[in-house]
Amino acid sequence: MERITLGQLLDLADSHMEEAESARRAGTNRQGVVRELGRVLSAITRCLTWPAGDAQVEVIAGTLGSRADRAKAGLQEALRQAGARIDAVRADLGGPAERSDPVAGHLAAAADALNAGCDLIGTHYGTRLGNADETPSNWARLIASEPVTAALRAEMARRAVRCRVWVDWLASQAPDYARTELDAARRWLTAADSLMPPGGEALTEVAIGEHLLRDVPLAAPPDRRIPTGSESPAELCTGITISADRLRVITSAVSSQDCSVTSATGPSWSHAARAAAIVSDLAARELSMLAGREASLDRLGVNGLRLRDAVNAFAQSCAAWQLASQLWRHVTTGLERPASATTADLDDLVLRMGRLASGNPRWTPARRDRAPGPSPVGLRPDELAAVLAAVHHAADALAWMASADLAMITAFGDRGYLYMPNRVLERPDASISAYVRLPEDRLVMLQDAYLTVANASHHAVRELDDLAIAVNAPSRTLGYARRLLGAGSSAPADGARGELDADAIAVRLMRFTRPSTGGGRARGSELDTLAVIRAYRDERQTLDQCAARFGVGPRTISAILQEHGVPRRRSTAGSSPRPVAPDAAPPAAPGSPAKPERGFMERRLLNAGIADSNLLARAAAFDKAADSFLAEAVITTNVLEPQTSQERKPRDPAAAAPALAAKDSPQKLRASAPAAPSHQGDPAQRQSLAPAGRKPARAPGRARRTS
Amino acid sequence: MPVEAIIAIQDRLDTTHDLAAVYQAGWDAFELIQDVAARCAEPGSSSFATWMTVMGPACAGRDALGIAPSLPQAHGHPAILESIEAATEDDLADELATLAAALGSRLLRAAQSAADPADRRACQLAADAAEEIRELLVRGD
Repeated sequence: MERITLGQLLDLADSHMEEAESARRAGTNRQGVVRELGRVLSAITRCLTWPAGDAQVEVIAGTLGSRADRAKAGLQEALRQAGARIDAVRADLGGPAERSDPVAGHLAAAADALNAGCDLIGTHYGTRLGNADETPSNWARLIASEPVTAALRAEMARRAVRCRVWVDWLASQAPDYARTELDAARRWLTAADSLMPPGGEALTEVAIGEHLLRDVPLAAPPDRRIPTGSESPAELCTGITISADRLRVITSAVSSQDCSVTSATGPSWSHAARAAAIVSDLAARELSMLAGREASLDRLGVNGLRLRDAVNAFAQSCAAWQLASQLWRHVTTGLERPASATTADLDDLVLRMGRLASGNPRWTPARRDRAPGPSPVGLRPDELAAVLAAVHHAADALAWMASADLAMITAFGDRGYLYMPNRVLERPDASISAYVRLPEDRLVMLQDAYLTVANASHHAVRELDDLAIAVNAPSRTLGYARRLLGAGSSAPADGARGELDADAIAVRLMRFTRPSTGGGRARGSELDTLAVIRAYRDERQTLDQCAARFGVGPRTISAILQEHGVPRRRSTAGSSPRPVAPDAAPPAAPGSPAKPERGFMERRLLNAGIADSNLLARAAAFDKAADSFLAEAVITTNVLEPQTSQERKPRDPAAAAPALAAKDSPQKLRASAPAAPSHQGDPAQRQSLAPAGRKPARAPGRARRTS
Repeated sequence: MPVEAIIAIQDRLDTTHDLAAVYQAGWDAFELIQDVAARCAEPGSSSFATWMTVMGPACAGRDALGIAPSLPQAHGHPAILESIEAATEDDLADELATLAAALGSRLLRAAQSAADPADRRACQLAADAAEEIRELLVRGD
């Protein structure tokens, strides 16, 4: 399936409208024209229904919606009225329509193209039947944004106004009673003209909206294109873009799945982290090569230093993914599938990025296939822009994947679906096959590693956003989209990014694989550690603010930060807080007390990026019940909780019941793990990163887990 | 040290006869391959993709053996690789390719002789992983 965009369909409609105008003559069948003109107007009206708006009358009347909503609804209504008037005169304008008439044929094709455009937009919104499985696509928010809806309104109004010449032509040959209707249709079209969005205001935003509108693709991912081994650089760039498109769509779909049905597993996350590290490394190499082409860069008006910044950003991204892959050596989900929905596309991405960076069309990661090809003599500006766009797309897909992985890993960890070898964690002499549930401090470390991955990946792609726009690269849509929606679209907070070199990786890995001492802070309060780290490091809250927010003393916050290697800041009194991640709990206002109403369950949901009000209300109910239960327990056993003004225990029922939690731990985790779907997946998707010609890796067996 | 560790495991593979010992040696071999690959994977070098990719089948092979029914419950402490600096990257790749070849063929033989179908499957999966590692690391003509 070739990538098709709304712009292509609009251009197709325009070309047919032009053909129809140039083919119009005295003998043209008027009824055919009337019928198809009505369809054109109907298609334009349909296009204006996106994004779906309710209560049309109230919107037009001004009691609902914004000014833009009213303009859109007014335009829609004007076109509907014009279409109705034209339909009304169909029977009065000569004999039946002839399919062979070229004018009517072109108008019909224009209507078809516009209807297809409308359907294409609709693919981003599902069926609108309230099906819970349907999630709006990544583009849905963009299409609903004001600049894009304004651009859609302008595009459709322009085409509606163009229909006036046809109404005039029909009116000039129509009997009086039909002319009255056509005059009314003309007046409605004139009204539509007046509802066109004004130009000139916020020109940049208008231009961005127009560009994004034309680039709206079909929501379905393009078909996979398997690397052939003889692809030209241009074909490699196209292939990379296709893989990135597919990864974005698939990642988005997978991240919205429940843990028990998703195809993501420990081995597949491990594979994804390795592939992403390789792609980031290759991207850094490719950009470094581009940075050396000063002549081409000068012609494009790009400063080589900006590319150097991007190279550094990709080096950090590579290191972060490498760390994640190292952690997965010691963590498993207990499911045997090594391949997930993204595995094949990641492998394609690795191959093509390697081939592009090395200049060797047969490059594979295998030692014997990785020799670089001949260095290209020169790179035309358009070729340079294409390469930059391909890298940009790859980076964007990895950033999506990082955010989705972080969310999924959090969900898996919260459900207790992650395991670690007992010999690493507790007893070095334990059986190889003995696994225990991932302790919460390790879960926090894993989450923190993925937070680093997500930050680094988003930073890398943002470095390329501006470059792509500057050189007018085909991928500038990504940059425009991020500008329009803001970094919060899928990115975590742009928190502090310490350099992640080999030593830092080794330290984190050592901390991750150290034996569990069982001491320290109580189990159950550990998940809050991530929130503490986020609040201190990413939201730039002070120790006191964190202490107030989490209901503990500053020394506890300090201990948590030290334990997790988070560097302490000097006093930041008076500094403004950094941007907050969309999934982070809102920071407490300086000087204000923490929100005591946020209970443990509620905070866990918020930390996991879940803001659904129903779920939060249920979590609050759980918290309230837990509080009551604890109070009752304290009263009935006549034991007072230790509590001082400095170090109040967090209001966490799980922290008070470690013994209960231990009793719940399954002896045979096989039974509690999510069911393993059939191993017989799509063979294409099971292709590994093996060199060409190798048979794909087969899955290992299901892990036997005993605690 | 790393080359010696590789050779030592290869010797163990050559001299073991019972399935449990093969499993133990195989498990240690895959762990060692992962260790070496992780340490050799240096971003920016032309071999980065190779070493990162090697870690995949090494992990898969280890996990395949880790769930085999005949794997002994008690397992000695695998050798800890202190440093890889004593050997060149090319030497390590050559040695690991040789080890992977030996590992694959030993596991295939074990698969043929194993009585339990689950053991046979584990051996076959691990042998495939070893062959994949060999393919990734073998020197070009």
